[in-house]
Amino acid sequence: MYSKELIKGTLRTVVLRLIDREGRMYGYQMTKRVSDLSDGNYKLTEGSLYPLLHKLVKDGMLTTETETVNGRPRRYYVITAAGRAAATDRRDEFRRFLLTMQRLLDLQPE
Amino acid sequence: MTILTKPQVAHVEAHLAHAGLPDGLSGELLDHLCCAIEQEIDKGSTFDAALSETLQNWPIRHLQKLHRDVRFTTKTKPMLYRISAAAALLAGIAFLSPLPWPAEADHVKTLPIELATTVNDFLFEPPTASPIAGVDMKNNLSSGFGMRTHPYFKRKVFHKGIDLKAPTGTPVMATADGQVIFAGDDGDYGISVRILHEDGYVTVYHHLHDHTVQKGDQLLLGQTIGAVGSTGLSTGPHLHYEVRKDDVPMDPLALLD
Repeated sequence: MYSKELIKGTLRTVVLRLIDREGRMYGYQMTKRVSDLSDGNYKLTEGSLYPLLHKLVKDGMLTTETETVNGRPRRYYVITAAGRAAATDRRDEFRRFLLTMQRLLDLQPE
Repeated sequence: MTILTKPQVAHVEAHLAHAGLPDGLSGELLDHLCCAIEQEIDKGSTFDAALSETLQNWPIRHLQKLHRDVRFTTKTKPMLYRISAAAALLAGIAFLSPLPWPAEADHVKTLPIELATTVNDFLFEPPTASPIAGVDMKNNLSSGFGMRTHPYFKRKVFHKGIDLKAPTGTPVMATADGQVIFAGDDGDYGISVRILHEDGYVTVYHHLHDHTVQKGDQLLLGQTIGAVGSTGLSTGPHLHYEVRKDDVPMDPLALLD
């Protein structure tokens, strides 16, 4: 399981990318998807996910749609054009960051 | 794929209702918790077991903390940025202005500094909860913060915290998340607990009857740490409660405003 600091620094990038790829997602689905993709190593806690989602909505990166699914309302988060741009920028930045870290920490592919 | 029935969903709804969250967030978390329960059932659990496990992972205080975090990131934080920007602008104007400052200008000059202090004070929420659940600190004060005549030595000394009257055995709780840095007998202060919080805040609880936490324990807001007593130099059952920031005692009541 990765440290809180690493997750804190990458959460926004991960969430934006996920919703960008899927078009729209709901909260539980995100935690589930991240857990599956990372074999449970990247723990997306609800305590950090929902404050971030609400913040991204406020900043215009996401909008919400509510639908009734299985008899209860479900809130979907939908990415906006600004959100897509931010997702791409962050992903590119992270790619460069990875290459830099590889050099800084002298990491060799295993 | 399991889908919870209406009565089953009502169980979860009842739990969420206790937290007193706004409708939007409550509805969203209802779906989240129901999804989590459905998944447990898909894995072979019974509804009762899945419900109890999920609700245990989501105590009321977690729900309330989540609500506070949502409010903080969406409302307080952006407001703080605006205040800092305004403070910086005022400071800039005050600093760059070529006019010689008349007497009244002092007011303008100090304003940005005051605003800046406000910003710092609010970056991390200081402990504002009452250490005795459901008891208003202001209404149960037996001795306030500041200079007072010491009940034992009968001379004027500075009182670094507040005294709250409460019967022996009343549970005392942590007023913010943090780590226990002291729990035990502290001489004149009796059985005491000290908790280190974020951003240099420490809360102190003296004259306890007992302590139920140990040094090193990680605590959540609202967790019981011990009970009110009259140990050490004390004239009757009460809780002495202190809030310190970077080791400077603050008035816990002043933090409420």
